[in-house]
Amino acid sequence: MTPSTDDLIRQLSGDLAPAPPLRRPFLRAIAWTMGAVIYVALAVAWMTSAGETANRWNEVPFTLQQLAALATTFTAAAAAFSMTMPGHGRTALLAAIVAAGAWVGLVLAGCIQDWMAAGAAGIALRSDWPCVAGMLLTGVVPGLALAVMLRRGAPLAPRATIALGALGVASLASLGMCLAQPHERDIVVLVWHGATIAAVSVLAAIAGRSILNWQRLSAAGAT
Amino acid sequence: MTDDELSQLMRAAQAGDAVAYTSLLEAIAPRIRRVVGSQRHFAGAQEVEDLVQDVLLSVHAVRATYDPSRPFAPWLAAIVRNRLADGARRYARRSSEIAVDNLDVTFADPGANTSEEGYGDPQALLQAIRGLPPGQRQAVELLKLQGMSLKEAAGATGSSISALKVATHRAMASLRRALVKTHDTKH
Repeated sequence: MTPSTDDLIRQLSGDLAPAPPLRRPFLRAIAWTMGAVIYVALAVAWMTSAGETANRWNEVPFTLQQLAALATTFTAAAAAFSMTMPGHGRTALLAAIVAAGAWVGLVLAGCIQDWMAAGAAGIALRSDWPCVAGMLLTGVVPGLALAVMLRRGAPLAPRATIALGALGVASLASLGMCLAQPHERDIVVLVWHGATIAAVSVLAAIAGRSILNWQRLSAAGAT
Repeated sequence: MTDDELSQLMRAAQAGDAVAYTSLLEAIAPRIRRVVGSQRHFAGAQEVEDLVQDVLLSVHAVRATYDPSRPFAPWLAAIVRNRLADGARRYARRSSEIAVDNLDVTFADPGANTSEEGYGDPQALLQAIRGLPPGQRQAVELLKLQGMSLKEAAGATGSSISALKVATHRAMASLRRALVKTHDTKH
């Protein structure tokens, strides 16, 4: 062992502070999802009249779509947390892909039903910028909370980790906006919500290395 | 030392036991060095040691991510793999920069063939270094001008090796921007 590495070991041991192990990704994902759901529920309650949303819970396709969005939220968060834990497998990532696929499939099925019921008018697209703005605003607080929690882990795959986190946040925000402003046509959800979720995830991936990186951990002393 | 023993040492280290932590780091350093050496045949001894120290710093920074109910070796292996991949990316960037510097060709842009100007201007460089924030200027002076090693510079300044690396990186980026600006102003 060269003297410099010896010195480094002495330095690291000398400054040692207790570092209790982080909770398992699954448990942290539960904690974050519960907090985020409560926050989004409050935001939705503030934005909407309860009656209209309550009516839609009787519609099985609508309920299944929201459950799939919630599953995407939880599994994407769990996958993101899992990616910051060295040596952990990628099972959560697979679960997130399945959940996101199920959400897309259910919304797509809704589009087909709308088309069969109303023809071309059933899949006529209209702009939905208020929903996009609502999703972005709703997602800020849960997104920041998730970023803070993720930064406690190891930046092994920063882009994928932050993209998954963004997928979870945007899915929950989409769910919130579907409850706040139920859409008559699923094509609006598929295109506008889907595009927003995809754009947020891609932008988050680009910013991934700025949010999670080894330099930050080392520069902070990380004692 | 077995995986169980390493795991026990890590558990104790997570609780703040410095003696256990020293034993752990001393036990894993040769293993990391072996892996680095086998993956980086072309690297010199100093470069291997830099990578080993990078891994040790990373282990230290994320020690809270070790789950005591799981084996230690896969946790360490994941960090080593990740840091080696980062090191390889840095090496590739450096190599490509050197390749461009050594190109023995004439570029189409006449400005590119003028040797007495631009980035080779020592006065402009000196001025740019003077314009750096104190911490970055000190890092450049010690590491790049006086040729100190990271360890020596850390000892001289009281900063950590990683903080010096960050300061140098930022300083080089600032210098690059400042020199490009000077170059553009002249032409």
